Amino acid sequence: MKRIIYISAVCLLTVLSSCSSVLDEAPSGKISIEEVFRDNDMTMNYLNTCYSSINAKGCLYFFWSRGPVNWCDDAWDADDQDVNWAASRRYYDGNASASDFPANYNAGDSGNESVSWTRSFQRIRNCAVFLQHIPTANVTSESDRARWTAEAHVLRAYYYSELLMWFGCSLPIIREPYTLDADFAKVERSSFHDVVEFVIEDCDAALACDDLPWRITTDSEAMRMTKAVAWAIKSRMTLFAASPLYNEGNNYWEEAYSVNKAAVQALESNGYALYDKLNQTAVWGDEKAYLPNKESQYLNEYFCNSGAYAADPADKETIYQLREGANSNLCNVDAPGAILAYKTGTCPSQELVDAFETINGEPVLDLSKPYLDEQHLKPNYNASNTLYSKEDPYANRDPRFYATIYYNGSKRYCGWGTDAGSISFENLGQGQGLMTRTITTWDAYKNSDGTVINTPEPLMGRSLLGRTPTRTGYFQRKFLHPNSGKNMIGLPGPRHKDYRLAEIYLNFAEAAMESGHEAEAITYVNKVRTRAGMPGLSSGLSGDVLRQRIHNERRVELALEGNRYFDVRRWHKPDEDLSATDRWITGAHITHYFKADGSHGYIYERTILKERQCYTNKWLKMPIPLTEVNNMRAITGEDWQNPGW
Amino acid sequence: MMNKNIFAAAALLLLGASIQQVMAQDITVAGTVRDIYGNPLPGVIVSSNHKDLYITDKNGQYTAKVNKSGELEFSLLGFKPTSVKASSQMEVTLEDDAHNLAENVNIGLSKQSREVLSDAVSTAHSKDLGRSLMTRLQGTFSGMFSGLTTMESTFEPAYESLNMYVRGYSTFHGGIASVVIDGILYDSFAHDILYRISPEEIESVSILKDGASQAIYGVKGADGLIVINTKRGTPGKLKVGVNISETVQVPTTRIHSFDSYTFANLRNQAAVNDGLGEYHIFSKEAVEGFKDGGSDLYPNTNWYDMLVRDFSNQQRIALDATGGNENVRFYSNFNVLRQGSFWNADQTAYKADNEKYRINFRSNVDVKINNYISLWANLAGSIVRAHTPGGAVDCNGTLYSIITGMPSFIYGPVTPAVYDNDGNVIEAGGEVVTTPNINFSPYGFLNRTGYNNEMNTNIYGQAGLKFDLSFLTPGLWAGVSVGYLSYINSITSNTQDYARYIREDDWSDLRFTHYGTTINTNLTYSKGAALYGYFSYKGEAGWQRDFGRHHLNANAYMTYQVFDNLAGGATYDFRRVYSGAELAYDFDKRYAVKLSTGYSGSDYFPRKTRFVWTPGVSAAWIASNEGFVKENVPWLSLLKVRGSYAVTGNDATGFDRYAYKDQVNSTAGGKIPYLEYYTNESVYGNPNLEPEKIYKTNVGIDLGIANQFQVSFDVFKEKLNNGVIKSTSKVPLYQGIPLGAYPITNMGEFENKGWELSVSYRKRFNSDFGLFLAGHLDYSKNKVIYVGETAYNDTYAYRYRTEGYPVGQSWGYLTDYSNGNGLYNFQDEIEAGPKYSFGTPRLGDIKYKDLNGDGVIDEKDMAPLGNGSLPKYNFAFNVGFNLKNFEVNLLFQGLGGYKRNYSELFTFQSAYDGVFTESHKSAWTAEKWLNDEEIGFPALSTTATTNLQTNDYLLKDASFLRLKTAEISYKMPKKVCDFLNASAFKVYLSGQNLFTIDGMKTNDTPVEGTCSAFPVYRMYRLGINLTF
Repeated sequence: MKRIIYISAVCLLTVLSSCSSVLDEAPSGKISIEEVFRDNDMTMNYLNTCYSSINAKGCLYFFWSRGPVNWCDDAWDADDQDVNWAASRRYYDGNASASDFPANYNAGDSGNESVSWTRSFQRIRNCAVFLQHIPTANVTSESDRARWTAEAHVLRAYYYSELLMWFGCSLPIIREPYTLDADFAKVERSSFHDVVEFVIEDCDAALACDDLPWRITTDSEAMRMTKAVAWAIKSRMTLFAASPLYNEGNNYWEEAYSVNKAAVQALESNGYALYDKLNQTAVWGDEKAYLPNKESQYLNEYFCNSGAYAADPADKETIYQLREGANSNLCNVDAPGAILAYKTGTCPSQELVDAFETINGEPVLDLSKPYLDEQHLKPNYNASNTLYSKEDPYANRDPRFYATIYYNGSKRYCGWGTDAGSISFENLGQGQGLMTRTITTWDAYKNSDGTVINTPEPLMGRSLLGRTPTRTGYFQRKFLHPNSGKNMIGLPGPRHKDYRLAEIYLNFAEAAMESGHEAEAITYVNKVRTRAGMPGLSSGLSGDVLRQRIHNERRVELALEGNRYFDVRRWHKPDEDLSATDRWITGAHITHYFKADGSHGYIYERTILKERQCYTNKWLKMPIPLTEVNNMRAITGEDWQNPGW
Repeated sequence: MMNKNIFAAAALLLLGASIQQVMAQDITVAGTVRDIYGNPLPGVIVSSNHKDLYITDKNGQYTAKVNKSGELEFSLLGFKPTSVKASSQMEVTLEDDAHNLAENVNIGLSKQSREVLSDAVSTAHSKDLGRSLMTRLQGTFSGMFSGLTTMESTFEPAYESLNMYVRGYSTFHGGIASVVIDGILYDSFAHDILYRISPEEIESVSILKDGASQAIYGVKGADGLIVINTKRGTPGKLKVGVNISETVQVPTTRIHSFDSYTFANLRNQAAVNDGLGEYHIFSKEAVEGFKDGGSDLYPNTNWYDMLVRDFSNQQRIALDATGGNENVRFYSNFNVLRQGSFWNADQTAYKADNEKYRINFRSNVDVKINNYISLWANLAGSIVRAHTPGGAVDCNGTLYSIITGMPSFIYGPVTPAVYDNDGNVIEAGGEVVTTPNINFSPYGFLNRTGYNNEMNTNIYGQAGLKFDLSFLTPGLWAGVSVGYLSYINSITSNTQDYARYIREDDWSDLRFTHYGTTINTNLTYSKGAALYGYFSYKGEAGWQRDFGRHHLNANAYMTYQVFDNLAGGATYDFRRVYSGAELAYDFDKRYAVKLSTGYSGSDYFPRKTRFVWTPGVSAAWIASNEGFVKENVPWLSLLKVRGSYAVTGNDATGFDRYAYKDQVNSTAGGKIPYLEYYTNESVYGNPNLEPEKIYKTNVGIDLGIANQFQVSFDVFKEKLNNGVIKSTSKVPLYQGIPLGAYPITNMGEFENKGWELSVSYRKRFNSDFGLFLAGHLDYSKNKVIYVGETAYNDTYAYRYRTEGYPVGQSWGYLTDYSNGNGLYNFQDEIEAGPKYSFGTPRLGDIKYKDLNGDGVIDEKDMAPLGNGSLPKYNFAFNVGFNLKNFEVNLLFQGLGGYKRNYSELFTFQSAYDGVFTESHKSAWTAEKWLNDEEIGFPALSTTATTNLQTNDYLLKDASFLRLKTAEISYKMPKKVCDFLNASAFKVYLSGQNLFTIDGMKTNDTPVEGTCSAFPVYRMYRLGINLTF
């Protein structure tokens, strides 16, 4: 009897003790985060994850849009009609809320085509996890460990800088990843400036690392972080922190000045220099590139090419270039729509055109008050500019104008996928194929008897309908290879240059000017102007006049690169709005006329486009996602939302 | 002595030999068992010391061998059990038992006497279930059990399906009950199995409702259990039963179809409302042409009459046989069902309509190998052979819905032949007619899509050994068994497609053109299959012994189960370990207590927390068995107070399979090629995840008067405090883990409360007349307390959508009836009303309430509609009587406290070429409004309108009361039986769903189901029951 009980008990225990493991998951290849850092390659893979949400930018905002370029007064998006969910159209209509904001339209939060609070913070966590584990990770090479650590620091700084630029608000600083039992009620947000300090701290940690390179030299490492990027982030972020929108009444200009000065020196002494030489003469130097002078030639060449990765590259100006190219699609999505008849995309505004000085260095408009009316229909011309002609407004302009914008009467040689219509007087009778065509953006013509026919030029004329016409009378050319088109679409589009030395110079110039180092400010603005073939600012400028010139220089030099959206915002105080710049955007209403003798000319007038709604105070900052705000209210009782949303 | 016995048992087991150990003291007893009116009682179980010995034959006679000093117990459902000291000749009289105290309630692991049972368990027996006309076991449950809500979801004859909920929901996951078949537990997936078991095979079904009865089932207990026991052999002479029936099935409602004149007018009216002008869709000539039944050019095709038969037939033949001796017993069943077609097909090349055969068989065998070891084996299976049109395996549902979509103005079903002037055929015609908007034809679907042959085989096999360990201590036994349950479905299809022809625009001629890319194709062969299987290994032990007035019943079991589902995709098999034990004790049938516990685990949880103890206790005081009650209040035939409290478990949380584990892997395609892969963290595991525990309390009272009248009342409460949720409302996005991957936690709270009332009256007045009345009314109400929902801000009329509401709460806009009819009747009213964020209302559209008063109707104005996905009330009423050889039985069943949204009518009108039902006839028009005519529907439209937003306009009370089954039977007199050499011969006529009372007010929307699906059907059955 006893034995039976014994045996039974032993059997039962055996069965019971085997139960637990019998219910384990069969080996499935799943690993834990700890195991990742036990392996050199998987650790490296994790660093790659930290890179995974760097936005593509350029013309790769959702649905091949140039994003913030079109959402500010640089340009108008031709996708504002046919596609009612297009982010630009929603900006213009003011159709946005915290739960559905157009810049985050592709809200799947998986791609890199939209601005995302969530994704940025996910990567910030990845960086923090990486930094937490990397000291003890099984990494075979110590120099790898050092370099990877430095990269994670720069990456975290980069994601924070993006959050600061878009959301512009206090943020929690995440040095270490939150544990699953973290008490979020106790988390405090740090002010904009404190977050910038943290960004600098991360950048400095990276700069202290000997194994972090200054420059990437092979294509497979493209987009990896460098010391130069760390300096660029510091440069931009200190400038932002000092700007009126974010400084919370404090004066951080001196800090911005010294950081930027150090940045300029460090970059210059480590091989970074402005691009000032034509390399591909056969393309950009050719008359069929239709670039009038050498500066416009090499500047267009610079923006139309991706910088090569080499120890001593031709392009020494680009500090950080994103990996996704605008690819060969660019002439189909962000160019005169008539090339391939798909869509036009970015239409530079009349305001941007007005900003380009004449070649003698005089602004076209009085920068202290460029327009006499709020709708920008009455320009306040600069009285001392004698070179500008209202009848021939595109003559004698800054070389950068010709490298940046296709305007009425400019010419383009490429493969055209469209026939010229019967009233395309300039290009009459032209079929499809490789040829030079005149860019014709007129939207009316006047017969010799004086009758005005309000019919846009059928190929490229300005119209408010459709996706291929320009809305403003101008097309983007800054990034467009001079000859890409039908049968030539393989011509590469450029990768977006997220940071380049000219911006750092202008950051420095602005910080120097604001902090009273005006002579240094002028020196560095003039470096940029000289490269562009423009006369320098006179050394006597100061105060508001100098500020206006520096602001305008940024606008012109960085045109269509996405900086303007943030610049106009940071230059405002938190209680102001953007009505002076972003409410009314104008275009050129051009009438083609015939004289009795058969010759012809153009009449240039200004025309307003639909009033934009995205200028009010709340549009200074992007709203924090509604879910986050709701959650934070539930956790802390505080309202985290940016004003107005 | 004992050691020797063990040795002997082991040796015998090895040798497989059989030894008859004849006890010297045994005597043989024989006699007759009768009721109080002197009628012999067949089927009485004669047992001794909890061992069944014999069952009385048709003459009520028995013989049994029993220990000279032993007692014999006589029990039969409906009669009071009687114990008599053994003597060689015993005539026994059994008294009626209106309170069913003699019932041996099968609670899965053991059987407990109803008299001392302290758990809340509802039961039904084969006789009651067999009265239902439903062919699937599950179908017979409606109205049978207090505490079990049944809701039919599809109604096709022999394809009907049913959702079952034991006391509503026990968790916010909305789980459904698990099933125990002959002692083996299956998860809710096994409801599928119930469709393939025939009611004939079943001995009894018990519904375990309270925690104390569910506790031993651990992580599968919380949603309640349906315990099914199949019939086993009874010793005695071979007994053969034959049951043959013929059934006619008729839909209770028919799809609504208007003649083409009415249809065209409604369609034109819709176009007028949309601002498209008069006679926009049908010209004036066409409308005139449709008048008075139309013509060839202006057709009025009645697709329903063309394709649907008035009724379909069903035949069943069931054979069962049982018998055996004290060493071998068996029960065998063989059962064939044929379900005929509802469709009129005219395809000659192959059989186009549907037909279904189901064959069920079962053989349950018990073999006593020797005094210590017996073997039992159940082998059962079902084979379903279904022939359906090629368009869909589920042909009835699909075909029904597409008949709905086919309006009468379409010429059909096929194009006419075209002749030249000499009468020669130019085109043969015969092509299937449809329209560009519809692109299908029910005629084409039925006749031109080929056919499917479905073969569906299910095997349920169980076998085990039972060891009698009485030599250790009397009443002790142990057993081991294995169970296998499999489902294999294979469909062989020979399908074809057909060319679509549409009529040309010119109504004055009958000309057709080929439309679209489809052509008439030849039959194409294809094949598909699905399978799943459960493998179970079980060990169990029990000890049942009486010590004088102390009665003890202890049982324990352990099961390891693997469930493999091929259709489950790339997931691993599901594995669970269940074990449990219970100890029931009563003193003198006055004080009863039962302790139980489960200890179970599933692979959903991490090692350290995957096993959970689920203890429970229940107790009862049977006051009516107290001497002082018997003496002082003799009319009080039953007074029992019961209570239970237990923990039950649940592992079905609906989240990732291994949610306790991180899921990290390296994936190709990182941003930096040099860094190669990137790391994908898709799930962040919660290493502390544990099974959910639901605490259940039940208090009940049973009151019986004069052994005739009984009232039972139960109150219950169920509370879940560690519900598994993905609570991210307190988790900010900035912490960096994607909320979708964030760990799930045991933080949810849920509550379910209710009560059940049962009343019955049962009396046999004399041997010719007995009356039986019974009814139950159940109420349950659940509430989600906490699931970590993020509150909306205060601009929302309701800040929560889930918390504070029952499971399945739906949300939508409320109709503003302040103007009388809830619709916009004139333009100023629209302009004065709130702006709609989803479009602009037209005249005659629903006027929504601006609940938050912000002048805009948007999601902030949504309000709760109805009260969740389950009805609050579940009720049934059963009345029966027998008069001489006649017996009548009626079962009424219903649901209450339940609303359903019949909003499909809003989308119907703009679907295809427009689909109209009776309701659409009363749609708003300016004319009707001005004339003060009755308006019952918003203005018709040809397209989507603001009425399509979820709203309460068609939210209707879906309560109903239905005469579920009615049966009248006649027992042939003994003369007839004897002539046939039969022991019993019964003829019966029964009906199902004979009438329904509901508050729908229209005929076009069935109270259950939808108007485009197969409707509830009525059945009439004529059958005979012969026993030899």
